[in-house]
Amino acid sequence: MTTSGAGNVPIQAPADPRPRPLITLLRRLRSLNPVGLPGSGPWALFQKDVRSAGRRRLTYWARGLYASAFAGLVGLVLIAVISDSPGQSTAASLQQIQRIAPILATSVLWFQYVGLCFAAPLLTGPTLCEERRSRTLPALLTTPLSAGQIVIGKFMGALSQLLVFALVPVPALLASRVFGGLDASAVLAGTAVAVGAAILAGSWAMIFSLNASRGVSAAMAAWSMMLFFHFLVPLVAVSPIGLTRLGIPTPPWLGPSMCPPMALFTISQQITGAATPASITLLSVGGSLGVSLLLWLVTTISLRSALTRTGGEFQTKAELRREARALRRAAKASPQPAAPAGPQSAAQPARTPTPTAHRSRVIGDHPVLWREIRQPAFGSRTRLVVIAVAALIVVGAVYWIGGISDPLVHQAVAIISMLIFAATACVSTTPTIGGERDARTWDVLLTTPLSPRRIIWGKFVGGMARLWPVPLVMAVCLLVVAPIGGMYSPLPLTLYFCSFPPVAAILCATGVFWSLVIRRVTLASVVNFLLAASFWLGLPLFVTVFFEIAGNSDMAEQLVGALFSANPVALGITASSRLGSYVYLGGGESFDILSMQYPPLQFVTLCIGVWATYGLIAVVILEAAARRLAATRDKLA
Amino acid sequence: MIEARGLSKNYGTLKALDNLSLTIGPGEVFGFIGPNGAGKSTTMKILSCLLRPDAGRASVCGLDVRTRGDDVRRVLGYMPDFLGVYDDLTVDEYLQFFAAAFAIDRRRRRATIDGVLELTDLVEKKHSPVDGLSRGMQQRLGIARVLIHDPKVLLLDEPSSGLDPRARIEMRELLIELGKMGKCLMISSHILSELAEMCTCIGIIERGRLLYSGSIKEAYARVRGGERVTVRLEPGGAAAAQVAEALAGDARITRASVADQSLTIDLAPGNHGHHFLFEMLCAAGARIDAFTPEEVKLEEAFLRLTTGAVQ
Repeated sequence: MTTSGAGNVPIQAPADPRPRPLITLLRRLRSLNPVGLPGSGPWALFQKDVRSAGRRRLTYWARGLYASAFAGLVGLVLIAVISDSPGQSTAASLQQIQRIAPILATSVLWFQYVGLCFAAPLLTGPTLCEERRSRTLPALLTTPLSAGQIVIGKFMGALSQLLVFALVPVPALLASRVFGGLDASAVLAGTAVAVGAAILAGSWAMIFSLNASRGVSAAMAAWSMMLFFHFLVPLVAVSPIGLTRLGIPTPPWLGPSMCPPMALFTISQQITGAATPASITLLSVGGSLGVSLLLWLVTTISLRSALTRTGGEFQTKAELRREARALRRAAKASPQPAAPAGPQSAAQPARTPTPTAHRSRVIGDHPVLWREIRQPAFGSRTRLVVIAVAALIVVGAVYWIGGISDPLVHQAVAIISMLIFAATACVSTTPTIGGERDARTWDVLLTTPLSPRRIIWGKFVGGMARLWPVPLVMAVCLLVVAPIGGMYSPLPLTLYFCSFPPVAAILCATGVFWSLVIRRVTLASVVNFLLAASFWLGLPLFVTVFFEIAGNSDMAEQLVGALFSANPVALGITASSRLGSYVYLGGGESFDILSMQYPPLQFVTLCIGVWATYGLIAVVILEAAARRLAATRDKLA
Repeated sequence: MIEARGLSKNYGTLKALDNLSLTIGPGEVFGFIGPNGAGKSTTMKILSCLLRPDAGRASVCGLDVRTRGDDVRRVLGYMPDFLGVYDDLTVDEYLQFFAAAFAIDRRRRRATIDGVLELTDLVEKKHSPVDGLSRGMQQRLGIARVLIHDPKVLLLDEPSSGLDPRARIEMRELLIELGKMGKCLMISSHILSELAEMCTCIGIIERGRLLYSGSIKEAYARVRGGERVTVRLEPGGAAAAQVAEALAGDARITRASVADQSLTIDLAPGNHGHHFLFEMLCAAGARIDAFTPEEVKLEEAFLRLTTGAVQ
């Protein structure tokens, strides 16, 4: 209600001619929208993040992809059911659905668990480091917001996106509950465990976001922590090759509370008919949320301390150290203060620079390659030491508990290392071009006559060179520790180590390509990772699920065997399975990929063929990237 | 040196450049002026082969930017508005990097780098890490980088932005020095007084259209028409109104207005000099206390020629 300016004649709002309950209801519902509520404290940050996420096209692509993947999974199950029993009666179909409902629900829950744990760090990883990069934290500090409120607000914003992902499978779960007669408590318990694990993964990413230069680095660190705490700790604490082997009793709560997959596995059994205590769910969710709370607290304290230390211009300790080092170098490189001007000083010859602690290196004729191969694999020396010590502790613990003469232990180490290598290869080259764009050096580089091919290959070779740590660790494990334990098989060892370059080549090549095509480093890394996971893991999984549901296990095994035979990661892992065996080129034990058995010579031939093919594909991808870069530089005009 | 004909560039629905044509000759220092988002950087990016125009043609030293990008890069140095540096290199390594990128012979590289370091007064910072340099030093390093391959044409996008007064003066002197070396410079800047001091010609762009291109004097003339002179008279001589009357008949004077004991005289366009005015004033019996030719500033020309529209 307002009054007009002229004559102060009150203007009456026109009376609503008739009540409109639907519109009133909609208005009331709209007022419940959290984004529309008056924002203060962390709520304001939450609203800002939700709004900006809503304006990003990427948000909808991610939701669409997640929903499509989920729909694909459900569709796969339904197609298998239909194709398994064509032309049957309605009652028989219903029975079939009841039979298939537990499988569907279990698949959905595991899908949700993996999907949410993968997505959560990607959502929370960029929160703090992006604020730092865009220098918006000082502006936030001029408001009455506390560090805790900033952390909670940012986390809530990311969590709201996660909620959308979590809601995607609800219709399928409800359908399987209604038509399949499933136990609702089990479905709810599984969802709670998955969401709890995702919150934990997001909290880990949030704490790493404080010091990470990019969101994807924080996300990767969070995934590593999830792998460590969800798999390695329970492996050591609960499994038969763990502490129980040494006769040390493990508390029963340790497994479910520290390892959501264990809890989910138990719940999956409940869905398929077995009885499960409710405490499993409580332990798992409680454990995840408890650790998450702790992580938020640490994040808050760290953020507050960082902000107060640098007067709002939030810099991490590493950045501060680097800046101090740069200033020291600059001070050393600068000459002493000039002598007072006078006849004598004027007559003096030109001053030469004082000796410096940091001498410039000589750059060759391939500047991009020169710089790329000198990029540190771990960012800083401190990080390298921390990771080296952590790797030493983990590998040492595994060998101490498992023993160095057990081939299974070496095989486990080799498999995990190969997977870690593949994961790091996925992100080794994805930041190269995106990073140059962010640092505003890309345009400058493009104004030089450097050919696109030289730039692309320089980035590629540099990315390959940065992948040395895992093969080095494995060289120590398999070429030093294993022979001490009495295991030395030259052929499998050679095949295992030769599997690293093709894996690196293909993933680094695709990484360079995505880095060129996609502006955001995080997105490029995720796309590269998902692509590799889809081809090497998703496709075999898809085939397995499809044929298993269709009741054709033999076909599934054969097809998956064929797929793994063309997979360099699987070939490396297969090679490692014969580390303790007597194998030589002319005979000995065969290399088995599921039901497929390859005699050594045949396996070597297969390996060489696959490696060569992947090498060729990598070259084609790099050439495509070079052509694309050339096109953007008008070379092809 | 630089020639653009009918350049157009769209970013989606936004028209960044609209039929832009300009010519810059050898040895000229061209100031490119316009509001934010007017199309200055887009023009520079097209000329440096970083962007492809939707329509029109552009050439640098007679080399078409569309078809002879590689050759254009060898004769052109482009410094973007924000200089990104590789923070893991020293100043010397940074310049070596670009010397190698421009395929400068290894035997000549050392001497070339030392030469540009001396020119840009960075010798003392040779072994300093680039991320430890001040903003002014980094801008100097940017200039050093674009000079490393001795280009004939330099495109400098906001070279003085974010610099303190001392660094700004040093940068201006450096650019003047480059102009004297016979390089063709295209400088975009918002500091118009600086451009007025060092540019031989200017271009004013707004909403992707080039509103003016030519010498600074012509720009002033277009804005003002002719020069304006203010004359303050001492008491005891002829009255201001009488003097104004005496001046009224001359064709070189368009208007003479009186305020108290002062005269404001607008001269007709053209290069007349001031001596005739002195003679006429003395002949009319005026006792001159002060004679002040009013300076037209580039800011005024810019404001008059542009509408202030922002894209």
